[in-house]
Amino acid sequence: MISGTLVFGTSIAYIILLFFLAYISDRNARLGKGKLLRSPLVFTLALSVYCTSWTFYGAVGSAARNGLEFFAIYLGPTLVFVGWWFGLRKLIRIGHKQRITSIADFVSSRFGKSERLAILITIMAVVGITPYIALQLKAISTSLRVILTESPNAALPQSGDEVGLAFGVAAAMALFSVMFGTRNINANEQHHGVVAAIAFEAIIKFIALIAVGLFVVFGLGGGFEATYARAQGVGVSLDASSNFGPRWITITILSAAAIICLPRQFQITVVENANENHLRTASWAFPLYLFGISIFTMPIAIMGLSLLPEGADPDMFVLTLPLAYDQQGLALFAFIGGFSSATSMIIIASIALSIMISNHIVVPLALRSPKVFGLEHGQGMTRLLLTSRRVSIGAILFLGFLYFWLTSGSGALAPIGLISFAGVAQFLPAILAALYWRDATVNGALAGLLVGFAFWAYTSFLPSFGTASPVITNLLLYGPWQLEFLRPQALFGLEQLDPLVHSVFWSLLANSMALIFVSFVTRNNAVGQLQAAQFVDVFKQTENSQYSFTRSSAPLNDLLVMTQRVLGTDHANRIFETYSNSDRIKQNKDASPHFIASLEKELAGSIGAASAHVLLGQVVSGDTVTLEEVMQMADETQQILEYSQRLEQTAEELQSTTRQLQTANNQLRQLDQQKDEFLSQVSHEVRTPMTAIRSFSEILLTNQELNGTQKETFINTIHEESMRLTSLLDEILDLNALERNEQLWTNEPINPNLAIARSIQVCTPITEQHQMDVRLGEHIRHVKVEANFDRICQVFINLISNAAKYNDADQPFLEITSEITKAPGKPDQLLIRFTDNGPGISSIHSSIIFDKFWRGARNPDTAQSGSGLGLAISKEILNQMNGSLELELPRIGNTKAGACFAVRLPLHM
Amino acid sequence: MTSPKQTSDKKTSETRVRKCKFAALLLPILGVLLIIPPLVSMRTTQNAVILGIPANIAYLFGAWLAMIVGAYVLQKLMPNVLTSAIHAKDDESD
Repeated sequence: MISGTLVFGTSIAYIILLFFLAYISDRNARLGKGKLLRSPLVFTLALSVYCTSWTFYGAVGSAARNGLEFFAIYLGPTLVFVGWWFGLRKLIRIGHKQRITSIADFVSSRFGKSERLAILITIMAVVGITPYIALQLKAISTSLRVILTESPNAALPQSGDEVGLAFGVAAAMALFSVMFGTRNINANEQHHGVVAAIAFEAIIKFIALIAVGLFVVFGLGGGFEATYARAQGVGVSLDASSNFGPRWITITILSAAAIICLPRQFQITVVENANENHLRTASWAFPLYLFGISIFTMPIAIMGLSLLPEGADPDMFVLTLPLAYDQQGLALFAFIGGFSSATSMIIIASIALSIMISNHIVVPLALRSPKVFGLEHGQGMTRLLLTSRRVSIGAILFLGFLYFWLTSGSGALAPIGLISFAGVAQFLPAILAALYWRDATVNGALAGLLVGFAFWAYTSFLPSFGTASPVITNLLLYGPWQLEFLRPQALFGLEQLDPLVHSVFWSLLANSMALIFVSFVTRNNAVGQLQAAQFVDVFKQTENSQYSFTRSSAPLNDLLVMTQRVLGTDHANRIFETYSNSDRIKQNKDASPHFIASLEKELAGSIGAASAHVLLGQVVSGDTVTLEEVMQMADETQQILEYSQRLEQTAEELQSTTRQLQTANNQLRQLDQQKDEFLSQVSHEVRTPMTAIRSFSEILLTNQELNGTQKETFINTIHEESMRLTSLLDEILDLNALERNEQLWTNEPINPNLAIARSIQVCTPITEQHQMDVRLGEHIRHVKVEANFDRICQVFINLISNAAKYNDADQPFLEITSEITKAPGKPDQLLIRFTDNGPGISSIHSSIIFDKFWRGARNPDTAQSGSGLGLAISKEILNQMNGSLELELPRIGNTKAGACFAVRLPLHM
Repeated sequence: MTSPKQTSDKKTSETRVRKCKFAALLLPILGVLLIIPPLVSMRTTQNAVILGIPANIAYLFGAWLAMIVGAYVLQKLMPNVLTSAIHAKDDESD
């Protein structure tokens, strides 16, 4: 007999210990100490909140009734954790990046921060978890009754006392959870103190169960072999055929889904996770914990069935076996272990659900009508959050109690838990789509969840009230309106299936099909598309790849006031101080879009993504445009920009074409003019000798009395003029060919000095006639240039004869010098200067001397001696030799003013 | 400049990451195969016993333990490519 005082005293002492632990842990976490709190070990132990009183008491009951089935409850989570690299890692990474606060926040955030989706998931979670909470209440109240009455035969019908006891337990648990989970609002919804307490409870329940197991197997059963030998005798089925059917696979799938979809598991795995790397340890340590806690399940069930009187509740074997063999200390310890597993579940589940309720239902309502919720003065958001969470926790536990009461608490523990599992498993298609299917849409997710939830409620949740109401019993037997094919447990004529398999099959199938089909026919909005990329491609993104209100700029003051409302003054001030320390803000009183985006994430960490989006939208609304508008604007701007760019381009092209046309036109006109001038010049040049020839030949024809000498003179003149005409035409042809760049010769290395000597020699008659002295000045002796000997002589002769013809000085002379010039970037050249002391060329004429038919002021003696093409031809010849002919300013000093022609020729290398 | 040794080290580690990722995919798949029929339901006789423990229970615990050992080895071998910048910062502040 264990006295009630002792049991309650121990329980209260245990709770005080937990509080103390949570308090110390919270303080350490705030002070930045407590490395252990953020260790993979604590993370792994906290994960074992999965093992509730269902594991502690119910698994043994399940083993006694259904054989090996309880294994599947733990193998599912094992598979998920062993495959951590592909599922949980992504989930946690997204959770950290998006500041996810709950499973509803996760799904709604992925599907365009949809409020409707968040509300739906919150409601589904609350309904789905209610049986689970009832299960814990039932476990605690039953175990209390068992340990207080010391009656091993605990399969008594429901007594009024037990309902009262369960209510008391629910109230105590509510108080306990409120005090634990809602003492403050944390930035990331991380509750270090609670997690530490849960980790401690994980150790207690593990040791307690192992202790009972050791006592039962070695103290009572005489070892594993002897214990298992009794299995057949007590009717425990261990053979394959009865154990590994559809139900086995269904439970494996459900438990694998539950380890992700249960709000409390999501809370611990994703929200409370401090470091992604903790998953490495948890990937093997958490399955190992499950392994360890399952070792004694079957032996305890066998021994309970074998030793305790028939009719004893198998769910309480863990407690009744020690009691039956007078191990009161062990029984009390076992009770505390069961108490631990129940309380840890209730605390975390109610905290997780209350966060969802406050963030996704209360806050959106408060934002719509702030007056009703006392928010009109810009204060009270923190208070509202805390109050709503406290009320939610109370409501959740009351619902759990209600379920317990209505279902008469008569069912075994495991089936109740499986109803919850099947309920939360409806989140799985949406979560998988969120993680891996970019085209899944918000409407698809809504449809899938609604349809799945409806099927689950009809085929699983509703039948669980079968014992409570004759209406439901009738429904189960004959279907609504006597429609047999709508019977909840044989829907559409699908009979002979286990009710659980039946329910899971229909609900998950309908859920997935609705999700897929509706996603195919609907589209995501802009936020949805952006979020889809953020989720599906989370590993491809850098830290800064986030989008923001494109055009937003909100007054910092407004933002600060709003943030203080949500996060509290201290935290808000810290955020804004950090921001104002970056110097961008100093010129600007408005917050940058980048800051607004990061603030949204910060707020999302407290009140969920959808609410944060709406809340920020209120402050930023002055200049905020919706993302759709921004995208449309961007599209239009882009189009206009492209169009105007094309116009500009066309205009520029037109302008440049016009300019080119103008230039070409000018050139054509010039050429036309030049052609006219040339023609008139040629006509003029040709006309003079032709006139002479005609006149003299007419004289010869008409005057027969001319003497022989006269005739000879006239004929000579005619001959000379024809010769001049011929040479003129030759020169015109030559110049024409040169101007058309027709190379009439090949350049070769020649000695320019030889050419000069030859030219002087050729010009001797004319220089002697004008008594001009031709001097060779300083010149380079051994040098070769690239040129044609005959043609270069032509140039030199032209220059020398010109100098002779136009020099009217008393003592005319011509000086020829040569030197090598070097210019950077150009080949070396030989520069030959022909400098005379003649009249020189006036600056007016210097620009036209190379034109065709230009002649200097003629010496009377040599009238009409040149064609006027000499310099033009010479210039063209030198151009074709890559050289040049220029008129230089005569050097003052050693010669008096005259003309100086500079010939440049490329040196032969 | 990277020396040939560094390059080959890098290559080795890239190969290792690839192999580890493949193993990470293979492990849960093998785990599923181990615990669903036909493998799980091969021992049909009720009385088969391994080390004093009924064969089906021994098999389940064995498969379970194999998965745990596999996960342990995998996370030991898996190069540390997890740590994101956020956590790096967190760890520093510790």
